[in-house]
Amino acid sequence: MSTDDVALRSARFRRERESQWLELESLIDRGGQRGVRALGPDDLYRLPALYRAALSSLSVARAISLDRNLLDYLESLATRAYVFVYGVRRSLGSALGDFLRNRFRTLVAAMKVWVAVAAAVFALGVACGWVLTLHDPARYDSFVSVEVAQGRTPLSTRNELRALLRGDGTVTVDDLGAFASFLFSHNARIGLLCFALGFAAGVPVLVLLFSNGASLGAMAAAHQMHGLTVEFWAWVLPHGVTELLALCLCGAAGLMVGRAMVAPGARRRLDAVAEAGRHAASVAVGCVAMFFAAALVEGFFRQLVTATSTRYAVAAASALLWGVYFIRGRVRSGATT
Amino acid sequence: MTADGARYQVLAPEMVRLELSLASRGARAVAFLVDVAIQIGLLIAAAIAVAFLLPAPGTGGWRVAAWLLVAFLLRTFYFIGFELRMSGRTPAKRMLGLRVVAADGGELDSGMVFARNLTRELEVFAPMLALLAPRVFVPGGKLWLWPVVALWAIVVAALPFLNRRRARLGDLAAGTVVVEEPRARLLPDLVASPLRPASASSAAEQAPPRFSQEQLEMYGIRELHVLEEVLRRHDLVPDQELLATVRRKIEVKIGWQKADQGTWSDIEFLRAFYAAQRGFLERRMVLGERRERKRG
Repeated sequence: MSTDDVALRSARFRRERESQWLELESLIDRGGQRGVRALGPDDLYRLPALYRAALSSLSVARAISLDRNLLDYLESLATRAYVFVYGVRRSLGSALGDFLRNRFRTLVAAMKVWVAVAAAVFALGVACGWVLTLHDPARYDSFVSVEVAQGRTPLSTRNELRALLRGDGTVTVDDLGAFASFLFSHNARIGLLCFALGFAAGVPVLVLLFSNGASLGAMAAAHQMHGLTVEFWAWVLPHGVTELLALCLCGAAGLMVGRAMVAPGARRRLDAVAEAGRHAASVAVGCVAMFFAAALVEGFFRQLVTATSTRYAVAAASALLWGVYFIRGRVRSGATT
Repeated sequence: MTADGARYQVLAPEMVRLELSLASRGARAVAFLVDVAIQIGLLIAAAIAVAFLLPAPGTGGWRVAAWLLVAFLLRTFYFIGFELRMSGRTPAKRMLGLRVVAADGGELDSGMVFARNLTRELEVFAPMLALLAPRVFVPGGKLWLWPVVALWAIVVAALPFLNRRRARLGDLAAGTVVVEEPRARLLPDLVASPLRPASASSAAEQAPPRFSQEQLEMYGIRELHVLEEVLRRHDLVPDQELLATVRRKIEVKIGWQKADQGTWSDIEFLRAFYAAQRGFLERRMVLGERRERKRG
């Protein structure tokens, strides 16, 4: 053995630390794809020390060693260890559960101004659609697309409309399932679209909110012309409360992102958009759950229960439920700020 | 070291600078396609399962319902679920050795995973929907939608080429970066590991060659690394000619007098020179002088 290996500090340093690095590497390999959760208690006990040792070894090696392979190896090991330690390790179920219980409410409470704006734009759309269609029924087609209308136009007779509102009992549970799923996919997609359009600086969100509102208003007007207002709202509201609320939340999320894009304030634009994007995306995931609930009601309940008073009761109950759910969130977030 | 070479620096919370290798855009595109293929496979499997579990004739609607539900949930939660559970990887990413990490060096939290995947609605599915069913967007469906969508598709596709992080819209929204999993093997230290004796007569008794300070000052760090590469490669695939060539070049450069200082094989000479050179440059480096390249 030559005397060189003792004379070189880098070689001595490596000899002292090498076993630790190999131990860390085998630990990471054992963790595999499941990450830290796959490790036993002994491994978990060793991990923090080994991780910090690897990082410090990297710093030292950069300063004193010119062994290219060693440096590459330590860079690789440190990076793998860093990703291993800081990678998120939650199951989808637990993340969703915690989210729905806590984060969703807090996030919505934090953006209540935008929710108000979105709701206002939507309400404006409803009003416009309503008033304009009452004045000139021909405008109906420009507000309401064919799929949503499903045969209801100002030209329909009262009886036709009434039958559609009531549900004439020839619909089977079978078809309802498919219908419900379609509605869920369709409406959830609209909602997610609202959120996603926020990244296009928010203006498309306003347009989408307004046009959906106008669509609703136009249909309301069409029914009003036949004196079916009460039945119409009984038909819309049981699921509509949930669905429209979710739509407004998605719209608010999109507007929040749009605002971050257009007017980031003191922060860098990318950072502002990223932060707003994360906030908005979490809200959008909660809204998917709301759309699902609304679709269930729309698909099944509405066709099976035709009494107007029951429908209104369910609408009122859902409004109350969401109110309690979100206001408790506001109280909680207010207490922590 | 990757062929692509694009690096992204991150400051770990322990105050150590880490260099991550950005995933190539091609690899990411391939990973996306593989994920889509997996999803299609799962959808087909789901359709079969649904048809199997609900065979009765009156359940047609339920079958469609169940399948639509699975399809939507899959589309929304496939990426999110895997990236949460496998710390930033989907099955395709794992196959290709890619990973999602937080751009600021912190933990990849669930909000980030939600955000980067939900924007895919905007990047991919909304344009597709706009092309296939424009009435969903604009009641009445207008022809101007097509060029708008085309323009949007171009912008979305070009985005990873326009910023240093190679971020797509989702990455910008979430503050994430997609990197390659590093994988390097630790090879033996060239300085410490003993040489196999070149022949029966030499090596064992001879002292290794000694080099003067002037001789060691001729080369820089870069040449040292090249020499290391040569020596390591020789360990794997012996190439005596290359060693001889390199030795001659070094001898000429440093002004090495062969004559009476003993005979060493190429590998012994180069190993000894490497050890001496490395020790010399490392000592200089510790004192603050880094000579990157050779003199002259």
